[in-house]
Amino acid sequence: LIEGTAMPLSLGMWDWVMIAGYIGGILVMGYWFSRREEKTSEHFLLGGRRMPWLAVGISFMMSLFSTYSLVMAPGEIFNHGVSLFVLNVVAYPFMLMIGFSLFVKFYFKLQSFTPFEYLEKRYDRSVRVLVSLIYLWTRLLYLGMVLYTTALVFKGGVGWSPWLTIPVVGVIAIVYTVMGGLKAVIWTDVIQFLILIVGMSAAVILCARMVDGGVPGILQYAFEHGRGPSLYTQREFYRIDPYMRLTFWFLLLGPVMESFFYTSADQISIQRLLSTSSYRNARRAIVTNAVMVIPFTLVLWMIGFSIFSYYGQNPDPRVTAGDTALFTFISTQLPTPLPGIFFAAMLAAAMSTLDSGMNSLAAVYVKEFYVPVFNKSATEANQLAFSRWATVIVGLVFMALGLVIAVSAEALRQSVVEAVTIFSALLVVMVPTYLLGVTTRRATSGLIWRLSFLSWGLNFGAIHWYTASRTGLHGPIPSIAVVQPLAVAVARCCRWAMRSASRSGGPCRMSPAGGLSVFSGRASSDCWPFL
Amino acid sequence: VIGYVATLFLPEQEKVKTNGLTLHDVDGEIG
Repeated sequence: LIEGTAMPLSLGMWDWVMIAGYIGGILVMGYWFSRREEKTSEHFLLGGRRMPWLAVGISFMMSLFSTYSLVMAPGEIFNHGVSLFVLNVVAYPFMLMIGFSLFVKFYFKLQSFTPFEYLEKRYDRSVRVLVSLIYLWTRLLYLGMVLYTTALVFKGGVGWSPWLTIPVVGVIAIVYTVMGGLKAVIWTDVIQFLILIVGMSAAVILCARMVDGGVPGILQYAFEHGRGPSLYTQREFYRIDPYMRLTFWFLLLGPVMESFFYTSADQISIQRLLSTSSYRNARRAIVTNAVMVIPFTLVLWMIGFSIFSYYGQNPDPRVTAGDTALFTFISTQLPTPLPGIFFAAMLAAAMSTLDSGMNSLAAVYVKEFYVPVFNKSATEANQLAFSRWATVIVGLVFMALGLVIAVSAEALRQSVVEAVTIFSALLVVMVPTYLLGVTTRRATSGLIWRLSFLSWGLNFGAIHWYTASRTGLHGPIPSIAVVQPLAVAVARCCRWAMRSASRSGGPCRMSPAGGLSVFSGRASSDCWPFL
Repeated sequence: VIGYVATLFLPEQEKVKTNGLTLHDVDGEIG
C-alpha cells in the first residue's frame, strides 16, 4: 500500500452519499452537544463527569484503534499469519484490568483532570512537569504519525493525496471536537464504532459467500496454509533472541506495558474513565472495553483470513501483498454502497483517534501548563475558552506534523519513522514512575529522575545497537556496553539511597528549579550521581 | 527492577503514608 500498488477504490454515487451522510451526521452531533453544553471546563473536558460507562468503554477502545490498525492487522495475517496478535488478545484484557486496579483509584480519590496531578502529590512538582512534558511531546508525535499513516492508507486505497486527506480529516475532527467537547468525542466514537463494525462485518460476510465452505472453509484454508498460530508450537519461539522476528517474551511485554501505560499515564484513556460518575462506573467501562476488544479483534482477524483464502482460491495478479489485497477486494468485489461504508469506516477509525487526541492534549495543556504556569487566576470561563482554543491549536499542530512527516518521508523514506521512534524513546520513564509510586512508600522524586536518565541511556543504547545491526553489524549485543554502565548505575543508585537513608532530612528532594537545572548544567553532584 | 532494588535502601515517606497515595495506604472503596 505504501508503495502505492493498490488498486484505488472506485466510488459510485451511493458511496459518496454514504460518506457525505457520515460526515454530516458527526458534524450535526458536534453542534447538538455544543448547544446542550454547560459552560465549564469540567463539562468540556470531562463531560461533566456524568458520561454513561457503556459509551465510555466503547470510546476507550475506538480512541486506541486507528486506520493503520484496520490495514495492518489483515495485512499481517495475509503476509505472515495471526501469531503476532494471539498473545495480545489473550493477555491484554487481563493486564488492562490489573492496570486499572493498580492506578485508577488514585485519580478518582484526587478528583483529577489529568493523571499527572497524582505525581505532584506523590512525588513533587518536578516529576509532574517531567512526565506531562514527555507525554505531550510523544503523543503529539504519535498523532502526527496517525495522520500520516491515515494519509498513506487513503493514498493507496482511494488515490487521495496527503494534501487532501490530512486537511479534510483534521478539519472535520477539529470542528466537532471544538463544538461539543468530550461529550461529542465519546458519542461520535460510539457511532464510529457502529459504522466500523458494519463495514468490517459486511466485508467478512460477503467474502465468506465467495469462498468454498463459508467461514469454516476460510479458517480451514488459512490454517492449512500457515496463517494460524503455528509459531506457538515451535521451541525457537520461546527463546530470547533479538534477531527473531517474533518471540514469546517480546510479544508478552507488549500487552503488559501497553495496558499499564493506558491505565496509568495516558491522558486519552484516563480522561475517559474520569468522565464517568464514579470509580465503580469506570470499572464497568474498562470491563466493557476488555470484553468487547475480543470479538472486535476476531472480526479484524477474520478479514485477514477471508482475504487470504479468497485470493488463495481465486488468484489475482494485482494482489501481491496483504496491505493491498483488502482494497483490491473491496474495490472489485463489493457492490455499491458497501465501498462507501468501508471508506466511511476508515474515516471513522482515523477521526475517533484524532478527536480524542485533540481533546486530551488540550486538557493536558490547560490543566498542566496554562492554569498552573501562565494564568494562575484563570476563571472557569477563561479555562473553557482556552480549552477550545487549545483544541484548535493542537489539531493544527497534528495536521502540520502529519504533513511535514508526509513530505519528508517521501524524500527521506524510512528514516523519518525511525526518527519518530527515537524521539518516542523518552516514553520509557512513564510506567515505572507510576508503578513505583503506587506500590512503595519509599520511592522518591530523586529516584525517579535517576531512573529516568538510566532508562533513557539504556533505551537510546538499544536503538543505536539496533540501527547499527541493520547496517551490517550482526552479532550478539556486546555485553560490556550494557553490563558496565548498568553496574555503575546500580552501585551509584544504592550508594545515594543509603546516604539518603542515613540523613535525617530524608532523601534528596528535587525542587522544580533543581529538577530542571540539569539542562543548564548546574546539577549538584550530590543530587545527580549519574552526571 | 533496578528501581525496586534502590527503594529497599530508602526510608518510608510519612507524607505519602498519611495522604494515602500508595496501594498500602489508600482507603477502602473510592467514590
